[in-house]
Amino acid sequence: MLSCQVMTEIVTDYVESRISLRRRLEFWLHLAHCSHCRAYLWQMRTTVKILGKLQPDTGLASDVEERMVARFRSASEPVPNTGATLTTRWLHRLQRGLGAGRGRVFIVSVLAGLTAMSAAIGHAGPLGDVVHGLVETASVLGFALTTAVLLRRLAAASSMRLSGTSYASLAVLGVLPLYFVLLRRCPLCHVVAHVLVFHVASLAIAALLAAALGGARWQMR
Amino acid sequence: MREDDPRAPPADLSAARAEAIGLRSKDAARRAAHEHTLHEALRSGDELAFRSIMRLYHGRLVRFAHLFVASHAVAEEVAQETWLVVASTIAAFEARSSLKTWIFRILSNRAKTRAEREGRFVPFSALAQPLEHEPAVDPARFRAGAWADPPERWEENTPETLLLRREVRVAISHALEALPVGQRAVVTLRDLEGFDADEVCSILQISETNQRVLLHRARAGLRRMLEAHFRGVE
Repeated sequence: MLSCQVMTEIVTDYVESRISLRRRLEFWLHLAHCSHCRAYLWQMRTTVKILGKLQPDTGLASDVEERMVARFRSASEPVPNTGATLTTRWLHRLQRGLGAGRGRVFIVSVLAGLTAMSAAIGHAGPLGDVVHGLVETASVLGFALTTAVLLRRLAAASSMRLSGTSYASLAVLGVLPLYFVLLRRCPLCHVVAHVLVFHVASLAIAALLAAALGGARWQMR
Repeated sequence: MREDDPRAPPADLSAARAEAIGLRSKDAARRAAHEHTLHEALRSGDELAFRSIMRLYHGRLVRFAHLFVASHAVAEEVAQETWLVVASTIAAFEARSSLKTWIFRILSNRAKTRAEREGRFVPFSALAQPLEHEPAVDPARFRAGAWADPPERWEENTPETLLLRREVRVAISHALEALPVGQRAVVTLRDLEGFDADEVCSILQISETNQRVLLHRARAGLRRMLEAHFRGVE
């Protein structure tokens, strides 16, 4: 026979149904003849019910709500998954991170800033070379961006469908004319190192950026 | 671009869903169906659904986070961090657990990281170590194992009427604050949030036995404090 004291220790196991059938029968038998333990069980259940009715005392501030919804909105732009390769998904994320409007404003201001610096410092010393490299990288980016916008318009007009990868390839082709302009103005030996260091890297970035800003988003239609 | 996306749910359907989210069905099957609908709505980028779950759970997230971090402001931050994670990873959520469990698990991890940074981290598993025996009821109230000073039903019989009394609400929140953090975490999740035992184990990363021991102690402790309150009042 269970004592009242033992009852108070196994009551949680009983309520949680973590108790053997034999123990359960003993529990019932005890309850049947002990009004104190019935009162104890009642107190326990009432405590749990009271707890269940406790409401949190802070709410959600509306500015916080709007901020989170904005994040939710940008995150839930559907990622293309019909035939989407790893590249297109990655590009899509990049595009999301940049944000359409802000990304362009950012690139334009970087371009303007670098051009001003380049003009001020010229080609004097190692610092001048770094600035020169940055300016060229930036101008390639700008060029790729323009190509992306043009391609997008063209494709929209002719209702073509392009994948992120083919978009990137087209953007690279679009960047190439810029290289011919640059190459003609530089001595050959300088050009090789210069192109390897700055242009190959910037070409890759430019292609990805172009595809990110135009291709992936537009493929979703 | 969103308007002409055929996958976007129609606006009236979203509204109906949002309304449904406020309802708590007791029927498990209906709840599962509802959970599924909600999950689908969130995955398809239904903002109303997202707003609804935020309004429904934000205060609860702050309340739970506050168990582990120093201030209310930090708890609020942890809850916001949790929403950011939820917003950006909802598409990857695979519904192996309920949405609420998933959100609380994220919160619990973030709170843990935050508490570690604050240098006041207590590992959840350490919280759950069975301590020396702590009786549910003062042994002085028994004689030879039987009640010598028996409990009685509290005067007002329903939890609703009890909770209408301000001093009862104050007493219960003081009682909760007086509990050790492990007991408080378990009882908050089980009885305030309505999670089941398995869900609590997965949120807090503790064993089933630890969960039960902590729950038993917490409930027994809260009952003791409430009883003391009613005896003092009456």
